[in-house]
Amino acid sequence: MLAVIAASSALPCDDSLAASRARYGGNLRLAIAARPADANPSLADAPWDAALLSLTAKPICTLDDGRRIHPVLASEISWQGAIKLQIALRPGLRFHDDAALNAKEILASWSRLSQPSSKSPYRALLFAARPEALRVASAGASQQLLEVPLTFAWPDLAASLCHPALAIKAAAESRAGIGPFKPSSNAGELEANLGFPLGRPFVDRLSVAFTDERGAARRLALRQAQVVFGTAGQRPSADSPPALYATYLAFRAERVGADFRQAFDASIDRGDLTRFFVPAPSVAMNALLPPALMPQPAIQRPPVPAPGVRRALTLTFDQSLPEQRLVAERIQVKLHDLKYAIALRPVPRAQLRAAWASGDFDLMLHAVLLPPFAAPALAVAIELAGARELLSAELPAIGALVDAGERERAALERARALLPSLPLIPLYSQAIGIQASSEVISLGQDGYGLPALDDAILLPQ
Amino acid sequence: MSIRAVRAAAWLAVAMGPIALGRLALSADPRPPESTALVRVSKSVSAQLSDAEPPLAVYVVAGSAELARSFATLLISELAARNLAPLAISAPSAEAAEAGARSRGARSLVRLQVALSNGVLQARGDLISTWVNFWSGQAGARSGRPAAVIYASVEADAQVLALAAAAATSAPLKAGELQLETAKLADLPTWTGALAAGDLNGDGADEIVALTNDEILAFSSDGRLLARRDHRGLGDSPVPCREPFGAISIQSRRIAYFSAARRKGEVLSLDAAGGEFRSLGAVNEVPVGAQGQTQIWGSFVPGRSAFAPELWSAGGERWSVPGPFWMLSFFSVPNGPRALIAFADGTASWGTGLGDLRRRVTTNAAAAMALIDVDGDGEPELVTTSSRYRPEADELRVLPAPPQSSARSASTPDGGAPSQELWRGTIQGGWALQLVGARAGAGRPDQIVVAVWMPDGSAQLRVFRRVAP
Repeated sequence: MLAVIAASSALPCDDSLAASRARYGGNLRLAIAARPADANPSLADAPWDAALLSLTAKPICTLDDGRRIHPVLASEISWQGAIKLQIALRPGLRFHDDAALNAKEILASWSRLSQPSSKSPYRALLFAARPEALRVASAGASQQLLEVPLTFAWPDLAASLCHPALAIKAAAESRAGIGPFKPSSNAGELEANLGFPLGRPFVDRLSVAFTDERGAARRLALRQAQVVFGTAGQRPSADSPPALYATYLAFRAERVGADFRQAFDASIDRGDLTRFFVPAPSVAMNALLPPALMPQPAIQRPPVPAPGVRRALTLTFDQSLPEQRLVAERIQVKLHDLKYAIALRPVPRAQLRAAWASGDFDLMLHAVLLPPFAAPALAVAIELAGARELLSAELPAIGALVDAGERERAALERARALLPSLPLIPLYSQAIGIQASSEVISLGQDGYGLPALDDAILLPQ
Repeated sequence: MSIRAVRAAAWLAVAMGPIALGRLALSADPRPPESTALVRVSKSVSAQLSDAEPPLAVYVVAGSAELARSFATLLISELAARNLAPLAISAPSAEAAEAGARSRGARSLVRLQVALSNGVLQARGDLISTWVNFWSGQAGARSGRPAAVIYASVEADAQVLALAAAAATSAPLKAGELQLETAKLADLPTWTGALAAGDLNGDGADEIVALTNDEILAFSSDGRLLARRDHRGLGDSPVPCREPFGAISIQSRRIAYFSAARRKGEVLSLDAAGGEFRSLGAVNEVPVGAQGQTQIWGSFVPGRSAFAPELWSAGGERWSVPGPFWMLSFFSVPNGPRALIAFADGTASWGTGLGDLRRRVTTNAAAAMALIDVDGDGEPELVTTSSRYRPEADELRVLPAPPQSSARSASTPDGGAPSQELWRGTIQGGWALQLVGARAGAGRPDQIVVAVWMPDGSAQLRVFRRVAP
């Protein structure tokens, strides 16, 4: 065999990467600079939460970084004419506790967005669907077809179904969905799901630790973590993930007064928010949709309105997002001189959404993960503004456009036109901050800019 | 490029919305272009010669006489259609061609060299007038009639490569004596999971069979699509693999294949006349390869792009190789079989058969390795791609294989160890995860067929073949 050893000496050797195929195996250690997310996908919508949740609960499809659709729980997604979407479920899919996934559970997952107890702005993604007409049809003994009739043409529905908030979970809270990983018997650990329809992840296990930003950085430096979510990263550039986690200041016009928007625009520079208070990667938003979806106009700072009567207001914000507290305090201080006495009210995200759904707020910092397509993103923004009645007026005209480019242009045009009339002030949008050690390669991202840890490969030490 | 992109093409139409109804079309058509590389170059050259003064003499040289003749034939046909009264000139040199053309009565002469280089077919040369002013005497001054530099190039195809191919040699090659050229054989819509070659129609030349996650496709040796079959009807594997992976084995014109994305495999025959595969039944075992006339069966490591180490034959023989592996290559020579195996840990081994494959003979193996008789001397060479994971530029290397005696005796210090590789070239555009040797016909060295994963999720079959230096 010495002859073969000599033959191999002619081969250039790179010991760290001496494998032309992806390596399987290893325990990937992940640190997240945040608190554990809610188990409800519509509430786990911060990028780091959605990235983690999507490892154990996928929607029926995902978007890749080129915004192309990949069926996951579905084997096929096809249009049957302009107003009927047909989804063929992969046969034999099972949750990790061996319960079978069926079309009824998919319908139940989607309908949770519209229930009074968990009403979500993401229900706008399904606005075109007719929930009363959703139908499960059998296509043979093992396969199930789900027919989704629409009230009007909405070609972006297929892509909308890939939103992480529409991840499929069974009714039982203890049961995870179906993803590339599944819960392990060890706390804080996930293990590869061999039955995942797109193939098991390359690593065998994923250990997850929740900490703060400083703790996450220390874990990375001490090699206790190989990937860190939620740390300050680079400012977004052309190559970085799209910043789609958009934060708005929602207000109740009848409570804040007619000149509130003018007072806000005159007092607060959104650029200051991302420069001083919101960690990178983040960008200021001057338009209804973030820079990843539409060009941002320059803001003409209006004159400071004359101080009127003193208004006592409450600003509700998400207590799990530290940057929202800083932004809330900034708003509190800057508007104080204009006789807005603003009290801050940090609440859990579930409580924030409940307050939003009931309209029980004066001012609210509200962040949502927008789809990477302008038309469904506009729908979510309109819903977030509490103007659901506008959806039936705005969306059919956009959806009637067959060409995707024309739909994008029409949606952006309507976004520009609607912004002044919506009780919503766009502030900034964020992407997930990620750091990874050199032993992790092939860490891709999806169309939402979320890291795909199932694609990551761990190099041997 | 992520793994996800592999599935992108087949689902692109969903994103396009209602205009794309029903099942989605594949984005890349694997049919070869209608006109061959030689035809396209000859048309380009003839267009550049349209102002020449007839009769026009044509002088063509190339590394291979067949290539020169074929090109000259096509070019003369094109020029005749343009009423340029072409005539072929044979001469020992370009200078001598001028006198030859003049003596044949030609008024102008095009002198061309046709060459194949790095996958590109080039024709370059000049156009001159043969008319000489009688009153210039012995000086033979050229006339003022138009002259031109001629240049045309296109991507080479398998036909050009076949014309440029060298004949087989009997003597062992030394470093620097081997020259390979490459051409694109076919495009595929998605990444390949397996690749095989075998004579499916009895013409003595091997057809190429490629397996993707959705289809199995057969191509002729010149890249024509012979048949394709959607194998999604075989059912989804309960433990699919993240990368396309599978096995194809061709024996006695029967194709056994098994994709790791499917629940079971299938045995097919090719109805070349009908342009379709015919199913001969399903199989539940993975056709890992064939050692001589013995079909070797195995299984996948669940969820991973590797074969399990336990192997068996239909006759009841069983083998266990030292670990999960990516590929297994056999080569039969009169004095016994040779086997090469690349393990899933990046090591490789070599032996005289399945019972003689030890572990970690080399520590930087590639997934794409094979024993192929590249020079046509009847003995295999070791052909491999880069051992790196998705290198910026993949490469193909040809190494002399150790003689069989050294394979049997691991401690032989002077077992004919090669000191250096015979050839190295770049694989453009992507990463090669599968390669096979394909017989090109009697008296011809085998050609190397490589499946290249392109960054956009598509794949390309490329052929490498020995050409005259």
